[in-house]
Amino acid sequence: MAKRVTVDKAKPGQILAEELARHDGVLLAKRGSEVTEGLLRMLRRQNIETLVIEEEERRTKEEIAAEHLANLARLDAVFARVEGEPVPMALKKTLAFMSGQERDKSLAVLELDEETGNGAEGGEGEGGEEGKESPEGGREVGSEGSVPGGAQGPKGPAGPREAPDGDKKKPRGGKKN
Amino acid sequence: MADPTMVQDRMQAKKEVRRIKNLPTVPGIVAKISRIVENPETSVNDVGRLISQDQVLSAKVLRMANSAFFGMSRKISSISQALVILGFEVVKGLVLTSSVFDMIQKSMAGLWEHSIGCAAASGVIASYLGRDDAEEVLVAGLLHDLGKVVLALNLPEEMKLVRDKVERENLYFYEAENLLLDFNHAEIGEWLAEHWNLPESLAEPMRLHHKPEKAVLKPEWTSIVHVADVIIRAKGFGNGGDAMVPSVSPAAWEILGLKKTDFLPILELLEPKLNSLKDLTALN
Repeated sequence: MAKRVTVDKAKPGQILAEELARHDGVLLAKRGSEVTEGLLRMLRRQNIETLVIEEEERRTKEEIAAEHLANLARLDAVFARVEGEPVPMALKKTLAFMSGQERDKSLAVLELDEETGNGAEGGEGEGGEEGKESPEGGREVGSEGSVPGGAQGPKGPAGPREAPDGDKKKPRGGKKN
Repeated sequence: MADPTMVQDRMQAKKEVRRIKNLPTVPGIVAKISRIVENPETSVNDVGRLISQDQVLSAKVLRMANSAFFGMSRKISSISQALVILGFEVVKGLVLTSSVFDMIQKSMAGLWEHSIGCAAASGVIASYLGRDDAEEVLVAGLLHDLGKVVLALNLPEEMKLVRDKVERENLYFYEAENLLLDFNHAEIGEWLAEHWNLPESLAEPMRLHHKPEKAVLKPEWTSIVHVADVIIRAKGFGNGGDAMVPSVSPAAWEILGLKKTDFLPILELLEPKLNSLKDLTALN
Protein backbone atom coordinates (compact mmCIF):
# COMPACT_ATOMS: atom_id res chain seq x y z
CA MET A 1 0.00 0.00 0.00
CA ALA A 2 1.54 3.32 -1.05
CA LYS A 3 1.25 6.72 0.52
CA ARG A 4 2.28 10.15 -0.70
CA VAL A 5 4.09 12.20 1.93
CA THR A 6 5.84 15.53 1.96
CA VAL A 7 9.60 15.57 2.07
CA ASP A 8 9.42 16.93 5.61
CA LYS A 9 7.37 14.03 6.81
CA ALA A 10 9.38 11.38 5.04
CA LYS A 11 11.87 9.44 7.11
CA PRO A 12 15.07 7.59 6.29
CA GLY A 13 14.44 3.89 6.06
CA GLN A 14 11.13 4.19 4.29
CA ILE A 15 10.89 2.58 0.89
CA LEU A 16 9.93 4.39 -2.29
CA ALA A 17 6.79 3.04 -3.83
CA GLU A 18 7.35 5.02 -7.00
CA GLU A 19 10.45 6.19 -8.75
CA LEU A 20 11.50 9.78 -8.20
CA ALA A 21 12.46 12.01 -11.08
CA ARG A 22 13.70 15.54 -11.28
CA HIS A 23 11.57 18.22 -12.85
CA ASP A 24 13.43 17.69 -16.10
CA GLY A 25 12.84 13.99 -16.04
CA VAL A 26 16.22 12.80 -14.84
CA LEU A 27 15.78 9.79 -12.60
CA LEU A 28 16.76 10.43 -9.00
CA ALA A 29 15.85 7.23 -7.25
CA LYS A 30 14.40 3.93 -8.30
CA ARG A 31 11.21 2.46 -7.04
CA GLY A 32 11.94 0.17 -4.15
CA SER A 33 15.02 2.06 -3.02
CA GLU A 34 15.36 3.30 0.50
CA VAL A 35 14.82 6.87 1.58
CA THR A 36 17.99 8.34 3.05
CA GLU A 37 18.99 11.70 4.51
CA GLY A 38 20.98 12.35 1.38
CA LEU A 39 17.98 11.74 -0.81
CA LEU A 40 15.77 14.03 1.26
CA ARG A 41 18.38 16.78 1.13
CA MET A 42 18.60 16.40 -2.60
CA LEU A 43 14.84 16.56 -2.98
CA ARG A 44 14.73 19.79 -1.02
CA ARG A 45 17.48 21.26 -3.17
CA GLN A 46 15.56 20.24 -6.27
CA ASN A 47 12.37 21.74 -4.88
CA ILE A 48 10.60 18.44 -5.02
CA GLU A 49 7.94 18.43 -2.37
CA THR A 50 6.49 14.99 -2.10
CA LEU A 51 7.34 11.38 -2.62
CA VAL A 52 5.40 8.17 -2.55
CA ILE A 53 6.47 5.63 0.04
CA GLU A 54 5.43 2.15 0.93
CA GLU A 55 3.15 2.12 3.91
CA GLU A 56 4.99 0.02 6.40
CA GLU A 57 3.23 -2.68 8.28
CA ARG A 58 3.98 -2.18 11.89
CA ARG A 59 6.02 -5.07 13.12
CA THR A 60 4.69 -7.12 15.94
CA LYS A 61 6.66 -8.08 19.00
CA GLU A 62 7.06 -11.52 17.53
CA GLU A 63 8.43 -10.19 14.27
CA ILE A 64 10.91 -7.95 16.02
CA ALA A 65 12.12 -10.81 18.16
CA ALA A 66 12.27 -13.12 15.17
CA GLU A 67 14.41 -10.66 13.23
CA HIS A 68 16.95 -10.62 16.01
CA LEU A 69 17.03 -14.41 16.14
CA ALA A 70 17.48 -14.53 12.40
CA ASN A 71 20.43 -12.15 12.75
CA LEU A 72 21.99 -14.41 15.36
CA ALA A 73 21.50 -17.43 13.15
CA ARG A 74 23.11 -15.63 10.26
CA LEU A 75 26.07 -14.66 12.40
CA ASP A 76 26.52 -18.26 13.50
CA ALA A 77 26.51 -19.38 9.90
CA VAL A 78 28.90 -16.84 8.46
CA PHE A 79 31.36 -16.96 11.32
CA ALA A 80 31.50 -20.75 11.30
CA ARG A 81 34.95 -20.93 9.78
CA VAL A 82 36.53 -18.66 12.34
CA GLU A 83 35.01 -20.15 15.47
CA GLY A 84 37.42 -19.80 18.33
CA GLU A 85 39.53 -17.05 16.80
CA PRO A 86 39.49 -14.25 19.35
CA VAL A 87 39.31 -11.21 17.09
CA PRO A 88 36.58 -12.45 14.73
CA MET A 89 34.66 -13.78 17.70
CA ALA A 90 34.80 -10.34 19.28
CA LEU A 91 33.37 -8.90 16.05
CA LYS A 92 30.62 -11.51 16.08
CA LYS A 93 29.74 -10.76 19.69
CA THR A 94 29.62 -7.08 18.98
CA LEU A 95 27.28 -7.54 16.05
CA ALA A 96 25.07 -9.84 18.11
CA PHE A 97 24.98 -7.26 20.86
CA MET A 98 24.02 -4.49 18.46
CA SER A 99 21.24 -6.63 17.01
CA GLY A 100 19.89 -7.16 20.52
CA GLN A 101 20.01 -3.43 21.15
CA GLU A 102 18.09 -2.80 17.96
CA ARG A 103 15.50 -5.33 19.04
CA ASP A 104 15.17 -3.76 22.47
CA LYS A 105 14.81 -0.33 20.94
CA SER A 106 12.11 -1.50 18.54
CA LEU A 107 10.23 -3.26 21.31
CA ALA A 108 10.38 -0.18 23.51
CA VAL A 109 9.09 2.03 20.73
CA LEU A 110 6.31 -0.44 20.09
CA GLU A 111 5.33 -0.36 23.74
CA LEU A 112 5.38 3.41 23.89
CA ASP A 113 3.20 3.65 20.84
CA GLU A 114 0.75 1.18 22.26
CA GLU A 115 0.66 3.03 25.54
CA THR A 116 -0.32 6.37 24.05
CA GLY A 117 -3.33 4.76 22.51
CA ASN A 118 -4.15 3.45 19.10
CA GLY A 119 -5.70 6.35 17.27
CA ALA A 120 -8.70 6.84 19.52
CA GLU A 121 -7.82 10.53 19.57
CA GLY A 122 -7.49 10.87 15.83
CA GLY A 123 -5.79 14.18 15.97
CA GLU A 124 -5.67 17.55 14.35
CA GLY A 125 -4.40 15.97 11.24
CA GLU A 126 -3.24 18.98 9.35
CA GLY A 127 0.47 18.93 9.85
CA GLY A 128 0.17 18.51 13.56
CA GLU A 129 3.00 16.94 15.41
CA GLU A 130 1.01 14.96 17.88
CA GLY A 131 2.02 13.44 21.12
CA LYS A 132 1.92 10.01 19.69
CA GLU A 133 4.74 10.61 17.34
CA SER A 134 7.16 7.94 18.27
CA PRO A 135 10.34 9.24 19.85
CA GLU A 136 12.46 7.29 17.44
CA GLY A 137 10.68 8.33 14.28
CA GLY A 138 12.47 6.20 11.80
CA ARG A 139 10.46 3.14 11.05
CA GLU A 140 7.00 4.04 12.20
CA VAL A 141 5.01 5.47 9.36
CA GLY A 142 1.49 5.10 10.57
CA SER A 143 1.38 7.68 13.30
CA GLU A 144 2.14 10.71 11.18
CA GLY A 145 -0.18 13.05 9.39
CA SER A 146 -3.33 11.28 10.43
CA VAL A 147 -6.79 11.92 9.14
CA PRO A 148 -8.74 14.57 10.98
CA GLY A 149 -10.90 12.94 13.57
CA GLY A 150 -10.32 9.50 12.17
CA ALA A 151 -9.28 6.38 13.95
CA GLN A 152 -5.90 6.39 12.43
CA GLY A 153 -3.96 3.85 14.41
CA PRO A 154 -0.92 2.35 12.90
CA LYS A 155 -2.81 -0.76 12.01
CA GLY A 156 -5.83 1.19 10.91
CA PRO A 157 -7.35 1.19 7.48
CA ALA A 158 -5.29 2.70 4.73
CA GLY A 159 -4.93 6.40 5.24
CA PRO A 160 -5.61 9.10 2.72
CA ARG A 161 -3.08 9.60 0.04
CA GLU A 162 -2.78 13.36 0.06
CA ALA A 163 -0.18 15.14 2.05
CA PRO A 164 -1.72 16.29 5.29
CA ASP A 165 -0.60 19.88 4.97
CA GLY A 166 -3.49 21.61 3.32
CA ASP A 167 -1.79 24.94 2.98
CA LYS A 168 1.11 23.71 0.93
CA LYS A 169 0.96 23.46 -2.81
CA LYS A 170 -0.93 20.54 -4.25
CA PRO A 171 1.48 17.62 -4.25
CA ARG A 172 2.85 16.87 -7.62
CA GLY A 173 5.41 14.41 -6.45
CA GLY A 174 8.78 14.18 -8.00
CA LYS A 175 7.69 13.68 -11.56
CA LYS A 176 7.87 16.15 -14.36
CA ASN A 177 4.63 18.03 -14.81
CA MET B 1 55.71 -38.32 -20.30
CA ALA B 2 55.97 -34.56 -20.42
CA ASP B 3 58.88 -33.04 -18.57
CA PRO B 4 57.32 -31.27 -15.55
CA THR B 5 59.42 -28.13 -15.97
CA MET B 6 58.38 -27.85 -19.59
CA VAL B 7 54.75 -28.13 -18.60
CA GLN B 8 55.32 -25.46 -15.96
CA ASP B 9 56.89 -23.13 -18.48
CA ARG B 10 54.11 -23.63 -20.94
CA MET B 11 51.54 -22.93 -18.29
CA GLN B 12 53.42 -19.85 -17.23
CA ALA B 13 53.63 -18.59 -20.77
CA LYS B 14 49.96 -19.22 -21.35
CA LYS B 15 49.20 -17.37 -18.19
CA GLU B 16 51.21 -14.39 -19.29
CA VAL B 17 49.56 -14.19 -22.66
CA ARG B 18 46.11 -14.47 -21.21
CA ARG B 19 46.93 -11.96 -18.61
CA ILE B 20 47.93 -9.30 -21.08
CA LYS B 21 45.13 -10.05 -23.48
CA ASN B 22 42.57 -9.93 -20.77
CA LEU B 23 43.27 -6.73 -18.95
CA PRO B 24 40.95 -3.90 -19.80
CA THR B 25 42.44 -0.70 -21.15
CA VAL B 26 42.89 2.10 -18.73
CA PRO B 27 40.02 4.57 -18.79
CA GLY B 28 40.88 7.51 -21.04
CA ILE B 29 40.56 10.16 -18.39
CA VAL B 30 42.86 8.31 -16.02
CA ALA B 31 45.52 8.02 -18.70
CA LYS B 32 45.12 11.69 -19.60
CA ILE B 33 45.52 12.77 -16.02
CA SER B 34 48.63 10.63 -15.59
CA ARG B 35 50.08 12.21 -18.71
CA ILE B 36 49.51 15.83 -17.89
CA VAL B 37 50.65 15.32 -14.33
CA GLU B 38 54.04 14.19 -15.62
CA ASN B 39 54.55 17.74 -16.78
CA PRO B 40 55.82 19.75 -13.81
CA GLU B 41 54.10 22.85 -15.18
CA THR B 42 50.68 21.29 -14.80
CA SER B 43 48.65 22.93 -12.07
CA VAL B 44 45.85 21.47 -10.04
CA ASN B 45 43.52 23.79 -11.92
CA ASP B 46 44.61 22.23 -15.19
CA VAL B 47 43.63 18.83 -13.89
CA GLY B 48 40.36 20.23 -12.62
CA ARG B 49 39.56 21.65 -16.03
CA LEU B 50 40.39 18.38 -17.71
CA ILE B 51 38.06 16.42 -15.47
CA SER B 52 35.27 18.99 -15.74
CA GLN B 53 35.21 18.56 -19.48
CA ASP B 54 33.55 15.21 -18.97
CA GLN B 55 30.25 16.20 -17.47
CA VAL B 56 28.92 12.72 -16.86
CA LEU B 57 32.09 11.73 -15.10
CA SER B 58 32.20 14.94 -13.10
CA ALA B 59 28.65 14.42 -11.94
CA LYS B 60 29.57 11.01 -10.59
CA VAL B 61 32.66 12.37 -8.89
CA LEU B 62 30.66 15.13 -7.23
CA ARG B 63 28.00 12.72 -6.04
CA MET B 64 30.62 10.69 -4.31
CA ALA B 65 32.35 13.78 -2.98
CA ASN B 66 29.07 14.87 -1.42
CA SER B 67 28.14 11.48 -0.06
CA ALA B 68 28.34 10.17 3.48
CA PHE B 69 31.84 8.94 2.73
CA PHE B 70 33.24 12.31 3.54
CA GLY B 71 30.54 13.79 5.73
CA MET B 72 31.21 17.32 4.53
CA SER B 73 29.04 19.97 6.06
CA ARG B 74 29.08 22.10 2.94
CA LYS B 75 28.12 20.95 -0.48
CA ILE B 76 30.96 20.53 -2.96
CA SER B 77 29.68 21.96 -6.20
CA SER B 78 32.62 21.82 -8.55
CA ILE B 79 35.62 19.73 -9.37
CA SER B 80 37.97 22.55 -8.42
CA GLN B 81 36.28 22.82 -5.06
CA ALA B 82 36.60 19.07 -4.62
CA LEU B 83 40.30 19.33 -5.39
CA VAL B 84 40.75 22.00 -2.74
CA ILE B 85 38.68 20.30 -0.06
CA LEU B 86 39.47 16.64 -0.64
CA GLY B 87 42.87 16.91 -2.26
CA PHE B 88 44.31 15.74 -5.50
CA GLU B 89 44.85 12.07 -4.64
CA VAL B 90 41.32 11.58 -3.40
CA VAL B 91 39.77 13.28 -6.42
CA LYS B 92 41.95 11.19 -8.72
CA GLY B 93 40.70 8.14 -6.89
CA LEU B 94 37.10 9.23 -7.30
CA VAL B 95 37.69 9.84 -11.00
CA LEU B 96 39.08 6.35 -11.32
CA THR B 97 36.16 4.91 -9.40
CA SER B 98 33.64 6.81 -11.52
CA SER B 99 35.32 5.57 -14.67
CA VAL B 100 35.06 1.97 -13.64
CA PHE B 101 31.72 2.19 -11.94
CA ASP B 102 29.87 0.63 -14.86
CA MET B 103 32.37 -2.19 -15.00
CA ILE B 104 31.97 -2.89 -11.31
CA GLN B 105 28.21 -2.92 -11.48
CA LYS B 106 28.21 -5.27 -14.44
CA SER B 107 30.72 -7.64 -12.97
CA MET B 108 28.93 -9.13 -10.01
CA ALA B 109 25.72 -8.29 -8.22
CA GLY B 110 26.49 -6.72 -4.89
CA LEU B 111 30.16 -6.03 -5.59
CA TRP B 112 29.64 -2.28 -5.88
CA GLU B 113 27.83 -2.26 -2.54
CA HIS B 114 30.59 -4.35 -1.02
CA SER B 115 33.14 -1.87 -2.36
CA ILE B 116 31.41 1.21 -1.03
CA GLY B 117 30.87 -0.58 2.26
CA CYS B 118 34.54 -1.41 2.47
CA ALA B 119 35.39 2.17 1.58
CA ALA B 120 33.14 3.53 4.32
CA ALA B 121 34.53 1.11 6.86
CA SER B 122 38.10 1.95 5.84
CA GLY B 123 37.39 5.64 6.30
CA VAL B 124 35.76 5.08 9.67
CA ILE B 125 38.61 2.92 10.96
CA ALA B 126 41.21 5.39 9.73
CA SER B 127 39.47 8.35 11.41
CA TYR B 128 38.90 6.33 14.54
CA LEU B 129 42.63 5.69 14.69
CA GLY B 130 43.21 9.42 14.43
CA ARG B 131 44.73 9.35 10.98
CA ASP B 132 44.52 12.43 8.79
CA ASP B 133 44.54 10.47 5.55
CA ALA B 134 41.20 8.78 6.12
CA GLU B 135 39.83 9.94 2.78
CA GLU B 136 42.69 8.38 0.88
CA VAL B 137 42.40 5.09 2.69
CA LEU B 138 38.73 5.21 1.84
CA VAL B 139 39.59 5.34 -1.85
CA ALA B 140 41.85 2.33 -1.44
CA GLY B 141 38.89 0.53 0.10
CA LEU B 142 36.71 1.47 -2.86
CA LEU B 143 39.07 -0.04 -5.36
CA HIS B 144 40.47 -3.04 -3.49
CA ASP B 145 38.46 -5.63 -5.41
CA LEU B 146 39.06 -4.38 -8.94
CA GLY B 147 40.78 -7.67 -9.65
CA LYS B 148 37.46 -9.43 -9.18
CA VAL B 149 35.86 -7.05 -11.64
CA VAL B 150 38.40 -7.96 -14.28
CA LEU B 151 37.96 -11.64 -13.56
CA ALA B 152 34.21 -11.39 -13.90
CA LEU B 153 34.22 -9.36 -17.10
CA ASN B 154 37.20 -10.74 -18.95
CA LEU B 155 37.30 -14.33 -17.77
CA PRO B 156 33.64 -15.13 -17.26
CA GLU B 157 33.94 -18.90 -17.51
CA GLU B 158 36.64 -18.95 -14.90
CA MET B 159 34.51 -16.67 -12.76
CA LYS B 160 31.57 -19.03 -12.98
CA LEU B 161 33.69 -22.02 -12.00
CA VAL B 162 35.00 -20.16 -9.01
CA ARG B 163 31.58 -19.03 -7.86
CA ASP B 164 30.12 -22.49 -8.22
CA LYS B 165 32.92 -23.97 -6.18
CA VAL B 166 32.55 -21.31 -3.52
CA GLU B 167 28.90 -22.13 -3.18
CA ARG B 168 29.26 -25.89 -3.24
CA GLU B 169 32.05 -26.10 -0.74
CA ASN B 170 31.54 -22.97 1.35
CA LEU B 171 34.96 -21.66 0.46
CA TYR B 172 36.39 -18.21 0.48
CA PHE B 173 36.55 -16.67 -2.95
CA TYR B 174 40.34 -16.58 -3.01
CA GLU B 175 40.48 -20.22 -1.85
CA ALA B 176 38.40 -21.34 -4.78
CA GLU B 177 40.48 -19.19 -7.11
CA ASN B 178 43.69 -20.71 -5.83
CA LEU B 179 42.31 -24.21 -6.27
CA LEU B 180 40.92 -23.69 -9.75
CA LEU B 181 43.05 -21.03 -11.39
CA ASP B 182 46.71 -20.20 -11.63
CA PHE B 183 46.03 -16.81 -10.13
CA ASN B 184 43.58 -14.97 -7.94
CA HIS B 185 41.90 -11.60 -7.94
CA ALA B 186 44.62 -10.07 -5.80
CA GLU B 187 47.20 -10.87 -8.45
CA ILE B 188 44.91 -9.66 -11.18
CA GLY B 189 44.59 -6.47 -9.20
CA GLU B 190 48.35 -6.23 -9.16
CA TRP B 191 48.58 -6.65 -12.92
CA LEU B 192 45.84 -4.14 -13.45
CA ALA B 193 47.51 -1.58 -11.22
CA GLU B 194 50.69 -2.00 -13.21
CA HIS B 195 48.93 -1.85 -16.55
CA TRP B 196 47.03 1.26 -15.55
CA ASN B 197 49.96 2.88 -13.85
CA LEU B 198 48.19 3.22 -10.55
CA PRO B 199 50.15 4.50 -7.58
CA GLU B 200 51.61 1.87 -5.31
CA SER B 201 49.52 3.27 -2.49
CA LEU B 202 46.45 1.93 -4.26
CA ALA B 203 48.12 -1.10 -5.77
CA GLU B 204 49.33 -2.47 -2.47
CA PRO B 205 45.89 -2.77 -0.85
CA MET B 206 44.56 -4.21 -4.09
CA ARG B 207 47.27 -6.81 -4.09
CA LEU B 208 47.59 -7.60 -0.40
CA HIS B 209 44.28 -7.06 1.33
CA HIS B 210 44.19 -10.80 2.03
CA LYS B 211 47.82 -10.87 3.12
CA PRO B 212 48.33 -7.52 4.79
CA GLU B 213 51.37 -8.76 6.68
CA LYS B 214 53.27 -8.61 3.39
CA ALA B 215 52.62 -4.93 2.79
CA VAL B 216 55.73 -2.83 2.66
CA LEU B 217 54.86 0.65 1.44
CA LYS B 218 51.52 1.18 3.13
CA PRO B 219 51.13 -1.52 5.77
CA GLU B 220 48.62 0.55 7.70
CA TRP B 221 46.43 1.29 4.71
CA THR B 222 46.49 -2.33 3.65
CA SER B 223 45.69 -3.46 7.16
CA ILE B 224 42.82 -1.03 7.44
CA VAL B 225 41.33 -2.20 4.14
CA HIS B 226 41.80 -5.78 5.32
CA VAL B 227 39.92 -5.23 8.56
CA ALA B 228 37.27 -3.14 6.79
CA ASP B 229 36.72 -6.00 4.36
CA VAL B 230 36.16 -8.45 7.23
CA ILE B 231 33.73 -6.09 8.95
CA ILE B 232 31.69 -5.46 5.83
CA ARG B 233 31.41 -9.16 5.13
CA ALA B 234 30.39 -9.81 8.70
CA LYS B 235 27.62 -7.25 8.34
CA GLY B 236 26.50 -8.80 5.09
CA PHE B 237 26.59 -5.44 3.31
CA GLY B 238 26.84 -6.11 -0.40
CA ASN B 239 28.46 -9.21 -1.84
CA GLY B 240 32.17 -9.86 -2.01
CA GLY B 241 31.79 -13.20 -3.74
CA ASP B 242 31.54 -15.48 -0.77
CA ALA B 243 29.46 -15.67 2.39
CA MET B 244 31.95 -16.62 5.04
CA VAL B 245 33.76 -14.19 7.29
CA PRO B 246 37.53 -14.59 6.98
CA SER B 247 40.16 -14.44 9.70
CA VAL B 248 41.64 -11.17 10.75
CA SER B 249 45.36 -11.16 10.15
CA PRO B 250 47.08 -10.93 13.53
CA ALA B 251 49.81 -8.81 11.93
CA ALA B 252 47.24 -6.33 10.63
CA TRP B 253 45.58 -6.18 14.01
CA GLU B 254 48.86 -5.44 15.68
CA ILE B 255 50.01 -2.91 13.11
CA LEU B 256 46.88 -0.90 13.72
CA GLY B 257 46.97 -1.28 17.50
CA LEU B 258 43.29 -2.13 17.64
CA LYS B 259 41.57 -3.79 20.58
CA LYS B 260 38.56 -6.07 20.59
CA THR B 261 36.61 -3.39 22.39
CA ASP B 262 37.17 -1.06 19.44
CA PHE B 263 34.67 -2.97 17.33
CA LEU B 264 31.66 -1.45 19.05
CA PRO B 265 32.51 2.23 18.55
CA ILE B 266 33.70 1.53 15.01
CA LEU B 267 30.48 -0.25 14.11
CA GLU B 268 28.40 2.47 15.70
CA LEU B 269 30.17 5.10 13.61
CA LEU B 270 29.80 2.97 10.52
CA GLU B 271 26.08 2.23 10.78
CA PRO B 272 24.67 5.66 9.86
CA LYS B 273 27.17 6.00 7.04
CA LEU B 274 26.10 2.74 5.51
CA ASN B 275 22.48 3.80 5.72
CA SER B 276 23.23 7.07 3.96
CA LEU B 277 25.31 5.36 1.33
CA LYS B 278 22.41 3.36 0.02
CA ASP B 279 21.88 6.48 -2.07
CA LEU B 280 25.06 5.70 -3.93
CA THR B 281 23.99 2.31 -5.13
CA ALA B 282 22.78 3.97 -8.31
CA LEU B 283 25.61 6.31 -9.15
CA ASN B 284 24.33 7.45 -12.52
